[in-house]
Amino acid sequence: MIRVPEPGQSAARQVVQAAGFTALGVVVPVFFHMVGIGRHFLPMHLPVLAGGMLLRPGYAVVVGLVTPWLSSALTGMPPMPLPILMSIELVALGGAASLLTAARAPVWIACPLAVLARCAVSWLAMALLAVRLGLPSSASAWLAIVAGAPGILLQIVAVPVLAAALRASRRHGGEIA
Amino acid sequence: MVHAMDTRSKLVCAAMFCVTVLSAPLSRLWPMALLAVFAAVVSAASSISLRALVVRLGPIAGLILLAGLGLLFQGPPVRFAAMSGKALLCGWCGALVGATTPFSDILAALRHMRVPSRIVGVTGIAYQLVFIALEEALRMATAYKCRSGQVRGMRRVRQVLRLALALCHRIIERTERMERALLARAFDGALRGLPLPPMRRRDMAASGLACAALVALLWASYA
Repeated sequence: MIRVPEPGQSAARQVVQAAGFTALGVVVPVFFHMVGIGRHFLPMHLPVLAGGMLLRPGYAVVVGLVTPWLSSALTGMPPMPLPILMSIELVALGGAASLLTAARAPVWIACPLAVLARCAVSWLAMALLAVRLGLPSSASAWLAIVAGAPGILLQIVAVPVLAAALRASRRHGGEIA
Repeated sequence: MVHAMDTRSKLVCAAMFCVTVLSAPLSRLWPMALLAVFAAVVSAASSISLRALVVRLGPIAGLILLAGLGLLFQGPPVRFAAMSGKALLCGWCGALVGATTPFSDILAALRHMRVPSRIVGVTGIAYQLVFIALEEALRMATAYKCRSGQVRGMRRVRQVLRLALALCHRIIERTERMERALLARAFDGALRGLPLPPMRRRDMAASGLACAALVALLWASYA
Protein backbone atom coordinates (compact mmCIF):
# COMPACT_ATOMS: atom_id res chain seq x y z
CA MET A 1 0.00 0.00 0.00
CA ILE A 2 1.32 3.44 -0.90
CA ARG A 3 1.56 5.68 2.18
CA VAL A 4 0.87 9.30 1.38
CA PRO A 5 2.31 11.65 4.04
CA GLU A 6 -0.15 13.90 5.81
CA PRO A 7 0.12 17.60 4.97
CA GLY A 8 2.26 19.22 7.66
CA GLN A 9 4.59 16.25 8.24
CA SER A 10 6.07 16.11 4.78
CA ALA A 11 9.34 17.34 3.27
CA ALA A 12 7.10 19.13 0.77
CA ARG A 13 5.82 21.42 3.52
CA GLN A 14 9.33 22.25 4.68
CA VAL A 15 10.56 22.99 1.14
CA VAL A 16 7.51 25.04 0.16
CA GLN A 17 7.39 27.01 3.41
CA ALA A 18 11.14 27.66 3.23
CA ALA A 19 10.58 28.95 -0.31
CA GLY A 20 7.68 31.10 0.96
CA PHE A 21 9.83 32.71 3.67
CA THR A 22 12.63 33.23 1.14
CA ALA A 23 10.23 34.96 -1.25
CA LEU A 24 8.99 37.15 1.62
CA GLY A 25 12.60 37.96 2.43
CA VAL A 26 12.93 39.36 -1.09
CA VAL A 27 9.60 41.22 -1.32
CA VAL A 28 9.17 42.70 2.19
CA PRO A 29 12.43 44.75 2.05
CA VAL A 30 11.29 46.34 -1.23
CA PHE A 31 8.33 47.93 0.57
CA PHE A 32 10.42 49.02 3.55
CA HIS A 33 13.00 50.62 1.27
CA MET A 34 10.24 52.41 -0.67
CA VAL A 35 9.34 54.26 2.56
CA GLY A 36 13.01 54.77 3.41
CA ILE A 37 13.02 52.75 6.65
CA GLY A 38 14.77 49.66 5.31
CA ARG A 39 18.18 50.26 6.83
CA HIS A 40 16.93 50.69 10.39
CA PHE A 41 14.16 48.05 10.48
CA LEU A 42 16.22 45.17 8.97
CA PRO A 43 13.24 43.89 6.95
CA MET A 44 15.01 40.87 5.47
CA HIS A 45 15.57 39.50 8.97
CA LEU A 46 11.83 39.31 9.78
CA PRO A 47 10.87 36.44 7.40
CA VAL A 48 14.13 34.60 8.12
CA LEU A 49 13.50 34.73 11.88
CA ALA A 50 9.86 33.71 11.40
CA GLY A 51 11.09 30.84 9.20
CA GLY A 52 13.53 29.82 11.92
CA MET A 53 10.63 29.58 14.38
CA LEU A 54 8.60 27.28 12.11
CA LEU A 55 11.05 25.23 10.05
CA ARG A 56 13.53 22.46 10.81
CA PRO A 57 17.14 23.70 11.33
CA GLY A 58 18.35 22.49 7.91
CA TYR A 59 15.64 24.41 6.06
CA ALA A 60 15.92 27.50 8.31
CA VAL A 61 19.64 27.67 7.45
CA VAL A 62 18.82 27.36 3.73
CA VAL A 63 16.35 30.28 4.01
CA GLY A 64 19.06 32.43 5.64
CA LEU A 65 21.62 31.41 3.05
CA VAL A 66 19.52 31.85 -0.09
CA THR A 67 17.51 35.01 0.73
CA PRO A 68 20.27 37.68 0.39
CA TRP A 69 21.64 36.15 -2.82
CA LEU A 70 18.22 35.83 -4.46
CA SER A 71 17.34 39.37 -3.38
CA SER A 72 20.64 40.69 -4.70
CA ALA A 73 20.11 38.89 -8.03
CA LEU A 74 16.50 40.02 -8.49
CA THR A 75 16.39 43.51 -6.98
CA GLY A 76 20.06 44.55 -6.70
CA MET A 77 19.64 44.88 -2.90
CA PRO A 78 21.91 44.31 -1.04
CA PRO A 79 24.75 45.17 -3.46
CA MET A 80 27.94 43.07 -3.42
CA PRO A 81 29.81 42.27 -1.17
CA LEU A 82 26.99 42.66 1.37
CA PRO A 83 25.19 39.38 0.43
CA ILE A 84 28.23 37.49 1.72
CA LEU A 85 28.00 39.21 5.12
CA MET A 86 24.22 39.02 5.23
CA SER A 87 24.06 35.34 4.38
CA ILE A 88 26.45 34.62 7.27
CA GLU A 89 24.37 36.59 9.77
CA LEU A 90 21.02 35.31 8.45
CA VAL A 91 22.23 31.71 8.63
CA ALA A 92 23.11 32.40 12.29
CA LEU A 93 19.71 34.02 12.90
CA GLY A 94 17.60 31.32 11.24
CA GLY A 95 19.74 28.45 12.53
CA ALA A 96 19.77 29.70 16.14
CA ALA A 97 16.00 30.34 16.12
CA SER A 98 15.30 26.91 14.69
CA LEU A 99 17.66 25.08 17.06
CA LEU A 100 16.20 26.86 20.08
CA THR A 101 12.65 26.10 18.92
CA ALA A 102 13.62 22.47 18.32
CA ALA A 103 15.00 22.41 21.91
CA ARG A 104 11.46 23.45 23.00
CA ALA A 105 12.47 26.90 24.21
CA PRO A 106 9.43 29.22 24.46
CA VAL A 107 9.05 31.59 21.51
CA TRP A 108 9.51 34.65 23.74
CA ILE A 109 12.93 33.37 24.83
CA ALA A 110 14.04 31.78 21.56
CA CYS A 111 13.47 34.96 19.58
CA PRO A 112 15.68 37.36 21.62
CA LEU A 113 18.38 34.67 21.97
CA ALA A 114 18.43 34.13 18.21
CA VAL A 115 18.67 37.89 17.66
CA LEU A 116 21.52 38.02 20.19
CA ALA A 117 23.37 35.23 18.35
CA ARG A 118 22.88 37.11 15.09
CA CYS A 119 24.23 40.32 16.65
CA ALA A 120 27.36 38.48 17.85
CA VAL A 121 28.01 37.00 14.39
CA SER A 122 27.23 40.35 12.77
CA TRP A 123 29.67 42.16 15.10
CA LEU A 124 32.44 39.71 14.24
CA ALA A 125 31.79 39.86 10.48
CA MET A 126 31.62 43.67 10.45
CA ALA A 127 34.82 43.93 12.49
CA LEU A 128 36.62 41.70 9.95
CA LEU A 129 35.25 43.74 7.02
CA ALA A 130 36.27 46.99 8.71
CA VAL A 131 39.83 45.68 9.09
CA ARG A 132 39.84 44.87 5.33
CA LEU A 133 38.57 48.40 4.53
CA GLY A 134 40.98 50.06 6.94
CA LEU A 135 38.23 51.44 9.20
CA PRO A 136 38.26 51.36 13.03
CA SER A 137 36.97 47.81 13.49
CA SER A 138 35.22 47.95 16.88
CA ALA A 139 33.48 51.28 16.22
CA SER A 140 32.24 50.19 12.78
CA ALA A 141 30.89 46.91 14.15
CA TRP A 142 29.00 48.63 17.00
CA LEU A 143 27.68 51.27 14.59
CA ALA A 144 26.25 48.57 12.32
CA ILE A 145 24.44 46.94 15.24
CA VAL A 146 23.15 50.18 16.76
CA ALA A 147 21.85 51.36 13.35
CA GLY A 148 19.57 48.32 13.30
CA ALA A 149 18.25 48.78 16.87
CA PRO A 150 14.65 49.60 15.77
CA GLY A 151 14.71 46.46 13.65
CA ILE A 152 15.90 44.35 16.59
CA LEU A 153 13.04 45.70 18.69
CA LEU A 154 10.56 44.97 15.89
CA GLN A 155 11.89 41.41 15.55
CA ILE A 156 11.57 40.75 19.27
CA VAL A 157 8.01 42.11 19.38
CA ALA A 158 6.47 41.13 16.02
CA VAL A 159 8.03 37.78 15.13
CA PRO A 160 6.86 35.82 18.22
CA VAL A 161 3.32 37.07 17.59
CA LEU A 162 3.52 36.07 13.92
CA ALA A 163 5.08 32.68 14.73
CA ALA A 164 2.44 31.97 17.38
CA ALA A 165 -0.34 32.89 14.92
CA LEU A 166 1.13 30.67 12.19
CA ARG A 167 1.60 27.76 14.60
CA ALA A 168 -1.98 28.10 15.83
CA SER A 169 -3.19 28.14 12.23
CA ARG A 170 -1.24 24.91 11.59
CA ARG A 171 -3.03 23.23 14.50
CA HIS A 172 -6.40 24.31 13.09
CA GLY A 173 -5.84 22.84 9.64
CA GLY A 174 -4.14 25.76 7.92
CA GLU A 175 -6.90 28.35 8.44
CA ILE A 176 -5.40 31.71 9.37
CA ALA A 177 -7.68 34.04 11.28
CA MET B 1 27.99 33.86 -28.48
CA VAL B 2 27.59 34.16 -24.71
CA HIS B 3 23.94 33.04 -24.94
CA ALA B 4 25.02 29.74 -26.50
CA MET B 5 27.66 29.00 -23.87
CA ASP B 6 27.07 26.21 -21.37
CA THR B 7 25.41 27.52 -18.19
CA ARG B 8 27.88 25.70 -15.92
CA SER B 9 30.74 27.37 -17.72
CA LYS B 10 29.05 30.79 -17.36
CA LEU B 11 28.46 30.24 -13.64
CA VAL B 12 32.08 29.22 -13.01
CA CYS B 13 33.37 32.28 -14.93
CA ALA B 14 30.93 34.62 -13.12
CA ALA B 15 31.93 33.25 -9.70
CA MET B 16 35.62 33.58 -10.56
CA PHE B 17 35.07 37.13 -11.84
CA CYS B 18 33.32 38.16 -8.61
CA VAL B 19 36.03 36.55 -6.46
CA THR B 20 38.71 38.42 -8.45
CA VAL B 21 36.84 41.73 -8.20
CA LEU B 22 36.31 41.39 -4.45
CA SER B 23 39.89 40.22 -3.78
CA ALA B 24 41.60 42.94 -5.85
CA PRO B 25 43.50 45.47 -3.68
CA LEU B 26 41.59 48.63 -2.72
CA SER B 27 44.57 50.92 -3.18
CA ARG B 28 45.13 50.17 -6.90
CA LEU B 29 42.53 51.09 -9.47
CA TRP B 30 44.17 49.59 -12.61
CA PRO B 31 43.03 45.98 -11.89
CA MET B 32 39.49 47.32 -11.59
CA ALA B 33 39.84 49.14 -14.91
CA LEU B 34 41.07 45.93 -16.58
CA LEU B 35 38.20 43.96 -15.07
CA ALA B 36 35.76 46.59 -16.38
CA VAL B 37 37.29 46.17 -19.86
CA PHE B 38 36.86 42.39 -19.49
CA ALA B 39 33.18 42.87 -18.58
CA ALA B 40 32.70 45.28 -21.49
CA VAL B 41 34.22 42.80 -23.96
CA VAL B 42 31.94 40.00 -22.71
CA SER B 43 28.94 42.39 -22.93
CA ALA B 44 29.84 43.23 -26.53
CA ALA B 45 30.23 39.53 -27.35
CA SER B 46 26.82 38.78 -25.85
CA SER B 47 25.14 41.28 -28.25
CA ILE B 48 23.06 42.81 -25.46
CA SER B 49 22.10 46.36 -26.38
CA LEU B 50 23.71 49.12 -24.33
CA ARG B 51 20.25 50.43 -23.45
CA ALA B 52 19.14 47.08 -22.01
CA LEU B 53 22.31 46.92 -19.94
CA VAL B 54 21.85 50.48 -18.65
CA VAL B 55 18.21 49.73 -17.76
CA ARG B 56 19.36 46.70 -15.74
CA LEU B 57 22.34 48.40 -14.13
CA GLY B 58 20.83 51.84 -13.46
CA PRO B 59 18.86 51.00 -10.31
CA ILE B 60 21.72 48.83 -9.02
CA ALA B 61 24.19 51.71 -9.49
CA GLY B 62 21.88 54.05 -7.55
CA LEU B 63 21.62 51.59 -4.67
CA ILE B 64 25.39 51.02 -4.64
CA LEU B 65 26.11 54.75 -4.46
CA LEU B 66 23.56 55.16 -1.65
CA ALA B 67 24.99 52.20 0.29
CA GLY B 68 28.55 53.46 -0.10
CA LEU B 69 27.90 57.06 0.96
CA GLY B 70 28.99 56.26 4.51
CA LEU B 71 32.47 55.32 3.24
CA LEU B 72 32.80 58.71 1.54
CA PHE B 73 32.66 60.44 4.92
CA GLN B 74 34.86 57.92 6.76
CA GLY B 75 38.00 57.95 4.65
CA PRO B 76 39.72 58.88 1.39
CA PRO B 77 37.49 59.11 -1.72
CA VAL B 78 39.58 56.41 -3.44
CA ARG B 79 38.22 53.83 -0.97
CA PHE B 80 34.64 54.87 -1.81
CA ALA B 81 35.45 54.69 -5.54
CA ALA B 82 37.06 51.26 -5.20
CA MET B 83 34.21 49.76 -3.15
CA SER B 84 31.52 51.25 -5.42
CA GLY B 85 33.46 50.03 -8.47
CA LYS B 86 33.70 46.52 -7.03
CA ALA B 87 29.97 46.40 -6.26
CA LEU B 88 29.11 47.79 -9.69
CA LEU B 89 31.32 45.25 -11.49
CA CYS B 90 29.72 42.37 -9.56
CA GLY B 91 26.28 43.81 -10.38
CA TRP B 92 27.31 44.06 -14.05
CA CYS B 93 28.41 40.41 -14.01
CA GLY B 94 25.10 39.36 -12.41
CA ALA B 95 23.12 41.39 -14.96
CA LEU B 96 25.04 39.73 -17.83
CA VAL B 97 24.40 36.22 -16.49
CA GLY B 98 20.75 37.09 -15.89
CA ALA B 99 20.31 38.55 -19.37
CA THR B 100 21.91 35.63 -21.19
CA THR B 101 20.64 32.65 -19.16
CA PRO B 102 17.12 31.49 -18.28
CA PHE B 103 16.67 30.88 -14.54
CA SER B 104 15.61 27.26 -15.15
CA ASP B 105 18.99 26.64 -16.84
CA ILE B 106 20.80 28.13 -13.83
CA LEU B 107 18.89 25.78 -11.50
CA ALA B 108 19.66 22.78 -13.73
CA ALA B 109 23.34 23.73 -13.78
CA LEU B 110 23.43 24.13 -9.99
CA ARG B 111 21.80 20.71 -9.61
CA HIS B 112 24.37 19.22 -11.97
CA MET B 113 27.20 20.91 -10.03
CA ARG B 114 26.11 18.96 -6.92
CA VAL B 115 24.73 21.96 -5.03
CA PRO B 116 22.55 20.37 -2.28
CA SER B 117 19.07 19.59 -3.63
CA ARG B 118 17.53 21.38 -0.65
CA ILE B 119 19.11 24.69 -1.70
CA VAL B 120 18.20 24.23 -5.38
CA GLY B 121 14.63 23.20 -4.52
CA VAL B 122 14.02 26.14 -2.18
CA THR B 123 15.59 28.59 -4.67
CA GLY B 124 13.50 27.27 -7.57
CA ILE B 125 10.17 27.51 -5.74
CA ALA B 126 11.12 30.83 -4.11
CA TYR B 127 11.88 32.35 -7.53
CA GLN B 128 8.32 31.57 -8.64
CA LEU B 129 6.83 32.73 -5.34
CA VAL B 130 8.66 36.10 -5.45
CA PHE B 131 6.58 37.25 -8.42
CA ILE B 132 3.35 35.98 -6.85
CA ALA B 133 4.23 37.77 -3.59
CA LEU B 134 5.12 40.97 -5.42
CA GLU B 135 1.84 40.95 -7.33
CA GLU B 136 -0.10 40.26 -4.13
CA ALA B 137 1.78 43.03 -2.28
CA LEU B 138 1.09 45.57 -5.02
CA ARG B 139 -2.62 44.64 -4.97
CA MET B 140 -2.69 45.06 -1.19
CA ALA B 141 -0.82 48.38 -1.35
CA THR B 142 -3.32 49.70 -3.90
CA ALA B 143 -6.23 48.57 -1.71
CA TYR B 144 -4.69 50.28 1.36
CA LYS B 145 -4.15 53.44 -0.68
CA CYS B 146 -7.76 53.45 -1.89
CA ARG B 147 -9.06 53.00 1.65
CA SER B 148 -6.84 55.46 3.50
CA GLY B 149 -5.56 57.84 0.82
CA GLN B 150 -2.02 59.18 0.78
CA VAL B 151 -0.59 58.97 4.32
CA ARG B 152 2.78 60.19 5.60
CA GLY B 153 5.12 59.83 8.59
CA MET B 154 4.35 57.29 11.29
CA ARG B 155 1.02 56.30 9.72
CA ARG B 156 2.88 55.30 6.55
CA VAL B 157 5.35 53.23 8.61
CA ARG B 158 2.44 51.56 10.43
CA GLN B 159 0.78 50.86 7.08
CA VAL B 160 3.92 49.18 5.72
CA LEU B 161 4.28 47.03 8.84
CA ARG B 162 0.63 45.96 8.62
CA LEU B 163 1.07 45.19 4.93
CA ALA B 164 4.16 43.06 5.64
CA LEU B 165 2.30 41.06 8.31
CA ALA B 166 -0.75 40.50 6.08
CA LEU B 167 1.52 39.50 3.19
CA CYS B 168 3.23 36.93 5.44
CA HIS B 169 -0.14 35.32 6.22
CA ARG B 170 -1.22 35.28 2.60
CA ILE B 171 2.00 33.74 1.33
CA ILE B 172 1.94 31.05 4.03
CA GLU B 173 -1.67 30.27 3.07
CA ARG B 174 -0.57 29.98 -0.54
CA THR B 175 2.34 27.69 0.34
CA GLU B 176 -0.12 25.39 2.13
CA ARG B 177 -2.17 25.13 -1.07
CA MET B 178 1.03 24.56 -3.02
CA GLU B 179 2.13 21.84 -0.60
CA ARG B 180 -1.13 19.93 -1.15
CA ALA B 181 -0.71 20.24 -4.92
CA LEU B 182 2.88 18.96 -4.71
CA LEU B 183 1.89 16.05 -2.43
CA ALA B 184 -0.79 15.10 -4.93
CA ARG B 185 1.98 14.88 -7.54
CA ALA B 186 4.12 12.61 -5.28
CA PHE B 187 6.67 15.34 -4.52
CA ASP B 188 9.29 14.02 -2.07
CA GLY B 189 11.23 17.20 -1.34
CA ALA B 190 13.61 17.27 -4.33
CA LEU B 191 13.00 18.96 -7.67
CA ARG B 192 14.11 16.78 -10.54
CA GLY B 193 15.07 17.53 -14.12
CA LEU B 194 16.58 15.87 -17.14
CA PRO B 195 20.33 15.21 -16.90
CA LEU B 196 22.47 17.80 -18.67
CA PRO B 197 24.68 16.80 -21.60
CA PRO B 198 28.45 16.81 -20.89
CA MET B 199 30.20 20.16 -21.35
CA ARG B 200 31.55 20.85 -24.84
CA ARG B 201 35.30 21.24 -25.25
CA ARG B 202 34.79 24.76 -26.59
CA ASP B 203 32.98 25.81 -23.39
CA MET B 204 35.55 24.12 -21.18
CA ALA B 205 38.38 25.88 -23.02
CA ALA B 206 36.62 29.28 -22.84
CA SER B 207 35.94 29.01 -19.12
CA GLY B 208 39.46 27.69 -18.44
CA LEU B 209 41.01 30.56 -20.37
CA ALA B 210 38.85 33.17 -18.64
CA CYS B 211 39.62 31.75 -15.17
CA ALA B 212 43.36 31.63 -15.94
CA ALA B 213 43.29 35.27 -17.12
CA LEU B 214 41.46 36.35 -13.96
CA VAL B 215 43.88 34.48 -11.67
CA ALA B 216 46.83 36.05 -13.52
CA LEU B 217 45.30 39.51 -13.13
CA LEU B 218 44.77 38.96 -9.41
CA TRP B 219 48.36 37.73 -8.99
CA ALA B 220 49.71 40.73 -10.93
CA SER B 221 47.64 43.16 -8.86
CA TYR B 222 49.36 41.97 -5.66
CA ALA B 223 52.83 41.59 -7.18
